Amino acid sequence: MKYVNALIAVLVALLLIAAGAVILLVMGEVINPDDMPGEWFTPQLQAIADSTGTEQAINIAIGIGLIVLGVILLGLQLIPFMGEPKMLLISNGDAGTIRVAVDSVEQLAERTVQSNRAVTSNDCSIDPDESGLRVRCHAVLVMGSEVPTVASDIQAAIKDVLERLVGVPVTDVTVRTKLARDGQRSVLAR
Amino acid sequence: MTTRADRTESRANNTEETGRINQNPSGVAGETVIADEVVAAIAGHAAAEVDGVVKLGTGNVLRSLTDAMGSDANNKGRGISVEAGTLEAVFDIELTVEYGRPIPDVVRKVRESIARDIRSLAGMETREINVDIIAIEFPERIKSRVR
Repeated sequence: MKYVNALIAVLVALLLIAAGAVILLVMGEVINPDDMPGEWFTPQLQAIADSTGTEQAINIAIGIGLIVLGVILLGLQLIPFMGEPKMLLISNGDAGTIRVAVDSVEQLAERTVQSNRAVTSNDCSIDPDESGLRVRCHAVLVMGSEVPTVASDIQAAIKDVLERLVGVPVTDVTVRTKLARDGQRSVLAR
Repeated sequence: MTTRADRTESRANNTEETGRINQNPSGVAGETVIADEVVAAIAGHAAAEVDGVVKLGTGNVLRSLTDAMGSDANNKGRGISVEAGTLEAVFDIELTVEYGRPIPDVVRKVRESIARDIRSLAGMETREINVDIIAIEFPERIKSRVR
């Protein structure tokens, strides 16, 4: 589904760029509205070609705007696919290296936090240093939760799961909790 | 850790040593050259067989496209790249692993599996296998049978 959405967004972006380019080309008399395939937009394109003064400036702005919008949309879709993911080095020996994508480790931590019944939502980030991993999580807890107990359980679970599955020592787990429907109050557990 | 320059040098040395070390047991004159793609395919198959490995490669749309168009020289889009000489090979592998499997264990089994298959099927030694875990696949949520 993610790829279908991305594909639709790319197609829309290309259409925006094409529309903007057509408007500018028609205004620059590079192409004639009558030469365009099909006749759906011929009257509109003719009006654009005939525009003068302020109207012409507005049409130029619209054409440039459509192209810029299309390029931005296209860029937003392609940028995530172009960059290398941030990797965490977990071992480096004669046999070779082992690295893990940082976002995968974060997902692992988030899933671990979410498995606690008292947690409604959470967001985790990791910060690797020389001695191991520092984990920071924001967790929203259901009303009535015993915050210190839940926070402690979360800390222990994250340390256990990451050390067991990723094989890297976890040196610090910071859990910042909020209670659902009480966004103003937060409790920090370290 | 081996640098790319070391690997290239190693590969060059291996090629020079082809006639002396990699003798043809049939006694018929000639040289056997195994293409990198073949070595990569053997390694990829060996890696994919390991429990806990979900798939090789990124599933990255752009990389798949560049790979399909032939512009990805290292075949990274398929999740494995290889620098193979006559005697040994170095691999860079990208894997997605199954949730719940200790990554170091999965990687150790992948290395063992690749080394075994490369030795038996291609007659090469595995010098280095660099593994990137690019994703962890979590099981789909099981739908409840009751509403």
